[in-house]
Amino acid sequence: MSALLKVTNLSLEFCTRSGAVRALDSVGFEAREGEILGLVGESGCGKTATAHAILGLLGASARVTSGSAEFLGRDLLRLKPAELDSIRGRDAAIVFQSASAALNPVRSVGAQIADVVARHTPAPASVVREKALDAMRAMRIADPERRSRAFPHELSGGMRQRVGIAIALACTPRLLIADEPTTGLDVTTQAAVMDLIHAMTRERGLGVVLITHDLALASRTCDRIVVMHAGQIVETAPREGFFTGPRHPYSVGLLRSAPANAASLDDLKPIEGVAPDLSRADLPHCRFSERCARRAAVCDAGPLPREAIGPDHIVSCWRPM
Amino acid sequence: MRPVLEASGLVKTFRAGRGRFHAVDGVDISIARGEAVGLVGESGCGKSTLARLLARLLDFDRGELRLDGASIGRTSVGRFAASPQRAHVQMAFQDPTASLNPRFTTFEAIADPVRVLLRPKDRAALEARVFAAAEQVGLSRATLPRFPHQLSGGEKARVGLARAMAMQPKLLILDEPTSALDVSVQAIVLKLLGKLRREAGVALLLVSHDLHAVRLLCDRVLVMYAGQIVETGPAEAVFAAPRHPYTRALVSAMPRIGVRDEGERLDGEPRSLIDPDPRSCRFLGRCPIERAPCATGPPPLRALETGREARCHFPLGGSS
Repeated sequence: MSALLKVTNLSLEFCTRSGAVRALDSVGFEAREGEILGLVGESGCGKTATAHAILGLLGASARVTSGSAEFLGRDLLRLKPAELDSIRGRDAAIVFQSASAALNPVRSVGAQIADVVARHTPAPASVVREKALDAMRAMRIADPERRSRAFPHELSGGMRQRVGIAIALACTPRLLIADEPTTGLDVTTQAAVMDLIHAMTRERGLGVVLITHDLALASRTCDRIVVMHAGQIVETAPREGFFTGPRHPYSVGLLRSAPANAASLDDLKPIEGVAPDLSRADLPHCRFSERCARRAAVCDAGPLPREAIGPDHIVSCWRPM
Repeated sequence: MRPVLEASGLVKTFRAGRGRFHAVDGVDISIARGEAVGLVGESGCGKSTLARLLARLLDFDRGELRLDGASIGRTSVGRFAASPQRAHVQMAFQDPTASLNPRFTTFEAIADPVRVLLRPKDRAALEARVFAAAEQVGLSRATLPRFPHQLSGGEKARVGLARAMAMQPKLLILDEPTSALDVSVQAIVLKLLGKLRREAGVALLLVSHDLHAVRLLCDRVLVMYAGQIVETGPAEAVFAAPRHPYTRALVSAMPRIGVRDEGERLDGEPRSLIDPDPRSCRFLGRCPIERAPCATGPPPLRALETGREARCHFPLGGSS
């Protein structure tokens, strides 16, 4: 499968009163057509910052200090705002974590889907409306004519999240970034929403970057996994290889601390310590080293390695498991 | 042995237009001393409302609630809040960041309920309680003068638990204790709850839609659907072989590591709880095995085998 999005050497800082926060450090990965790529890690590890950097959604305090994000032959990080506007929502779309916060509370959901369609493919109102209904049907929303007139507060959480995805997919983008699309939903609703996203990858060849902290969810839906810790990518692996043979000590720690993976409470092993403060001047090369039981002199010697240890399997560690 | 908390026939309805919304509809629960019970079900099924009824944070319409054998349903929620019995049932809330007062230090956060409910005779007695509770949940002395924004996620979760544990409760009710927490902190909290139960002998009611947390921590599980308990039994047995079709769908949707999932899916939404049809099963319309009798007589919660009950006319086979 060919690369749809190729992020290379992306570094990002936030300027704050207490100095620069080095949020991303040389992040690199690729998202492919017809595939779900899982971006996993604890909160604050830079998953969302990566997504926002790619789509130009960062605030004024953020500064991209290096890197590129190639998408359909162009570097998204170097586009003018107007050029990015024509790509966002049409070729590359994002689903936000909380659909209830992302939707406009005083506009019917049908109108909100139609807005996106009208913005990118101007057409007579009846055509736009029909496309919006199609987008709802694709999300298996029953009775779309009636539901399209509903306001967000009249829908259940799962239904609102489907509307959020319908908005993102209304213009049939090539790439979808889904930022915790099912957090806060029930397991039953979560499974139904993930089924829909999965179906789109098979039916339309959609490439998906799924941001999640839920390893069990990643395990059941993703084709490849990228693990982030404190702004660095520590391991990239195909799903099978990752869940059967993780190599980075942090990946191993994440799996041991996942309730879904434990047979009993004694089996559950929390990761010691917390991620370092990213505004520190003396950040180590390996930002996991201070939490790592395998740390040795070599770990502090220089920048993280990127070692290919198998097909599509890369680990950024001097002393992998 | 006498149960620590016992509820029978609890009903809570809310006004909804011209009708009544039946949030909790005839629930019986009994929690033994030191037992860990899980309450699971989808959002809107009434599990949080039920937790608030049991914690006496919300008055119920009908039913009976006993704490250690003594009826506590007659005392209004406002009066109960100041009564000595308040200390015996404590509740810890979902998001530690949202439930801690940002202007209270850790010490003050833990000391506040101690002052109100236990009225320690002097500063030394107050400090003894606070220090003991902090130690019990693994908070170091260094964290006591700090404010919530100076604490890590794991420490904030511990403060929430220390507040409750300082009361030396007999029952701790936890509403989604792990869902707002980071992956690495979830494991810490689950292990800590297991330890509190073992060492302090406190009974736990874990309200959660994280079925894995319930599986790891609880002896027994109650499955709730549309305001009613639809299945009960030992957690391991219920997850391994559900008897109610709703439980089966719930368990099948549970994400598992290393399992590519093609499980059963539940379509649609529950029937409206505004004046629900008293003749039909509440699961009708979403149930994969429904038959004619399901629309004409509501199934009772029936005992199947030792320790297991299901509210279904056609319970699933025990060993599937």
